[in-house]
Amino acid sequence: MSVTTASSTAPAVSGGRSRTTGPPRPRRHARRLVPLVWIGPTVALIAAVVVYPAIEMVITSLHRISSIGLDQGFTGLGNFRNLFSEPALGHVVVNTVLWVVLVVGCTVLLSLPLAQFLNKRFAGRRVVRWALIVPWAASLVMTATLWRYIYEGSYGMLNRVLLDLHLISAPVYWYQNPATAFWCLIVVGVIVSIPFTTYVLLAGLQAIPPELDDATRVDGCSAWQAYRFVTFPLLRTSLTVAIVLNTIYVFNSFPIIWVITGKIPGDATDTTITFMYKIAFTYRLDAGEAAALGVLNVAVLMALVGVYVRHVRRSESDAAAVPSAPGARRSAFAAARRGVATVLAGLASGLEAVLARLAAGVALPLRRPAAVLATGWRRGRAVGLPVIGALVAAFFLAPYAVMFLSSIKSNLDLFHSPALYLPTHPEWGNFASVWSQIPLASYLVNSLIIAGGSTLLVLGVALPAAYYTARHRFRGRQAFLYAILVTQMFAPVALVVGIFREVSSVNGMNSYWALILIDAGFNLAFAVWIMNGYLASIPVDIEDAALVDGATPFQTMTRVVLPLAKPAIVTAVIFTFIQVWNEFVVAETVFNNPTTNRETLTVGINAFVGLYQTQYNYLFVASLIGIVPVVVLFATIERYLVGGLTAGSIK
Amino acid sequence: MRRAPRIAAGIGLLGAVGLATAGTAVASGRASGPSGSINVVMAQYSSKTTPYWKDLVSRFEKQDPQIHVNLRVIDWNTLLQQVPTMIQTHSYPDILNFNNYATYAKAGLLFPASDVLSPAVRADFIKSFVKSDSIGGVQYGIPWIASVRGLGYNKAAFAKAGIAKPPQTWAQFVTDAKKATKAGYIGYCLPLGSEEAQAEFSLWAWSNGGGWVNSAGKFTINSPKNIQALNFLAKLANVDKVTEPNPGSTDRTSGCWADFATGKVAMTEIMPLGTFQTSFMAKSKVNWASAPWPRANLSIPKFTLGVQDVLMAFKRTGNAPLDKAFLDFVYQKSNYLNFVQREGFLPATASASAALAHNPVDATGIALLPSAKFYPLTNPKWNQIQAAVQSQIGTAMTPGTSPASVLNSLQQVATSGR
Repeated sequence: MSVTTASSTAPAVSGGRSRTTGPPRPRRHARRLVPLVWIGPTVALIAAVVVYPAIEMVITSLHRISSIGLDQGFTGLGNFRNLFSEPALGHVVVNTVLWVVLVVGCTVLLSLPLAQFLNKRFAGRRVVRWALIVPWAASLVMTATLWRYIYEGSYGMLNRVLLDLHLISAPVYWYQNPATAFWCLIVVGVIVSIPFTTYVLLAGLQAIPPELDDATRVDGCSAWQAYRFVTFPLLRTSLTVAIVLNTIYVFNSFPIIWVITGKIPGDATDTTITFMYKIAFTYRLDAGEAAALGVLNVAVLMALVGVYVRHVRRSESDAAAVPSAPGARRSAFAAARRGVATVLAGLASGLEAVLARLAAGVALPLRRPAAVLATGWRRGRAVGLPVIGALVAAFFLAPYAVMFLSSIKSNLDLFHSPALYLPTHPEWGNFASVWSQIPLASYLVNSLIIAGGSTLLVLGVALPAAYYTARHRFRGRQAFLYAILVTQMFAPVALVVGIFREVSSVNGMNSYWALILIDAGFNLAFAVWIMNGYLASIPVDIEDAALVDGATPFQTMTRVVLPLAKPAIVTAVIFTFIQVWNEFVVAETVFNNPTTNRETLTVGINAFVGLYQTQYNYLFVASLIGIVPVVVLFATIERYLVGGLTAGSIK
Repeated sequence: MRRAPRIAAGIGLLGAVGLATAGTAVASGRASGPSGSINVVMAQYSSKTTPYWKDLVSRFEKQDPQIHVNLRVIDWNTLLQQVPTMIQTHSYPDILNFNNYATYAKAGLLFPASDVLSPAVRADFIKSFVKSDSIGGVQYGIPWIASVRGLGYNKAAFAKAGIAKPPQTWAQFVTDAKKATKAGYIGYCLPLGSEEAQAEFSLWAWSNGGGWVNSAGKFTINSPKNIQALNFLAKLANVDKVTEPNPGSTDRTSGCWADFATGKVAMTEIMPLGTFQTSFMAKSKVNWASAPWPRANLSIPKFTLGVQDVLMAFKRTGNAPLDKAFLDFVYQKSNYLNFVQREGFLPATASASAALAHNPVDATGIALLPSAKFYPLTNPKWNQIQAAVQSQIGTAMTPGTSPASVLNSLQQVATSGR
């Protein structure tokens, strides 16, 4: 991508429409500034919100910080040396790799058939899709708290179910026992990752023209052959996106591990993210060493981002949209990135191969019985699909059914051993009294203001940037796209100190605007990328026509492009809203003043986590109430969502 | 060749704006507000805590309209994370409710108590508290609330197992725990999970004549007496098998107390005070009582573990009078008594103790206070030791792990330069 190509592919919008023909040099300068108008707000917001805390983290990693947090000056690489002499580090790194590989692998293996299934038409499909949303819409902290309660030894629901099924003979202490703890986490990790992944794959499936399927049928392919040789290869792009994005999310996943096993002594289940937290706040009380680990974490993630960018770019150049820049290959940076990319791509294709082999191995000996089954299936399909759908929905909703039933239990019932399926006396009053126990209404309003405000801000800032980057090749375009993606990769836990310092320096503590700005800044990347991809897939001719008719570029965007881009916008809205609605770490740090009821829902309901007792019933009541707005929003716009989700990769 | 520089340029641009922001941050410094305002950060003990403070602050501001109080009530888990952030960013609160103070005092961040409390209030504190809140004769920690620990037992379980009275020695304790286990109970629920592992281990170490520090104040975490105590616990779990499974990762509230309240546990460490009564045993049908901690032998004097939380006042020029006005108000007898009673803790003042002496539950705890032993709160390393003990000592319960090696590595934390 050269500068000349960049300016020649962007004639109409940049400087080209100016009526006066000024001297060439100033005009060229003006032309260079045009991108800034469109992407400037995004750059400014990200710079203000993310860059400063990131710099703060790097500085902290080079300073000695005392156990109470006092900065004792520059220490060079001392923190890194301390980190590498941690006896637990090797074990933690192994855990991290296992955690990422197993969770992402299992998630993808399970999401593939699930997406295939949800792509079929059957009665009640929408209900199944909604059910899949709940684990995604519920805040991770609450979902993790719920699972810990389910995994409890003497009063956990899992033990009750397994005892009743005679699968175990005595209660198992699932998360306390080092032998089972890690596997408990992986199960939860997979369950909460499936919805997002399934929707990514589902969108990929929807982009495959139905005629193709018919064609394979006519050619006499079995359903399996059609999937293996037609659908699966076409799904490849979505699959890679799912793998890469999940890798990043899972790598950075903090609440599941922290809430369920974070307080178990030792480091049997720690990943580098929870280990970082432990170094800072429990293990060593050493914020400097923790920052060093934070810096290394980000370095690893940036390599992963490089893979993602490379992947998207490759699909771009496959579409011959961007001529590749062979010169770049010479730089060491690119070489390193390519190295990681190759490894990752190898992993991804390896996984694909295993998938294919596995399925083929299963399919071959089963061919004849399968044929018999298939005949029966065609008859039973109308009933069979909804039944399977109901089972899937039940599986994903079951934990939340436990949440609901526990929310109307008394304290004594909550800790009854073995767990009670139903409360002895349902305390429906919990749903009424929770409003007076904590200022729940204020919390809901706060969360709505902040999630709504951030979502609007993200939309207003990200749309022009996404539109412009989708339509124009300009200097710094790739750098821009890469840089904003990097922002997605910081674990907020690692940035809290910088954010705190920043917000208090601008007098923004406990004010709505500060938290809205921060939440928006952290969620811009996803919105820009999704909308950028989708907008690029809209044929440019429509806009040219509008421009010829005399519309300004801005009018073209608002009146012509936006209505067409509805699915992508809705996708960005829902993602941003869910992310901000459930955000915990930043809100608790900079928006936390109970005297004036300035707390968000996720932070406020921690009032039920007392020093000596967790009031699970109220906690669960409030969590259920917190899920409602998200599910309502989701149900309203779910049908647009599926179109927009992987547009960024498919274009 | 072009790709990389462009990316670098993009990041550079972001960096430049970021630095500009950083400049602002340094320039405007700490956001302190008008001179008549103080920042107060209190720990959340229960869902009653926030309403208490809101009410107190509004009454205080009515009494002293020229002083504005910025109150934040933060749950303990968050507080442990937020306090270092406040310190690192120099946004010290004026008054903080926490569980240790010595490291802050040593760093010169705190007002002496005499600067922020009137003499009458200071004279009212129970002497043993003042002692563990003073370094070199100067009091920095302000005693806030206290609790003690005792051996809780289920009377029905004792009757069923044929145990006549609570054990006084370790040997009797093991016998009784075995009897109760045979009778179908968890003989002793051992909460060595991270929640309060340091309390559980203190009890067993002290009851063996061991402890955290020697008379010179040096840490002796891996002393022979302590190793013996931890071995004793590992034997309870793995050889005698009288504990719950995985005691190394069982917390007291979600684990032992929950099972004690539902009648599964014969003996466990409890707090013989109101908060335990109201939060756990209120609706429980279990008939329970509390006994002094069993000792390795009867030559070791009777004791209890006393745990205190403190308030501390961070130095800020000119703010001492504001802190004093607020703290004197907080310790007014009716205000202080109200807090202690609502939360169900033991008071740290003589006047409140006297007022509560008629209440049977509180009287038990108050009577234990004179024999209470405290953590080495005056040692500035204690905050690190406590955190390390919480997150590691439970691993000694895993079969095959050597308790001595766990204590050795904790001693290393104590002696390391960090």
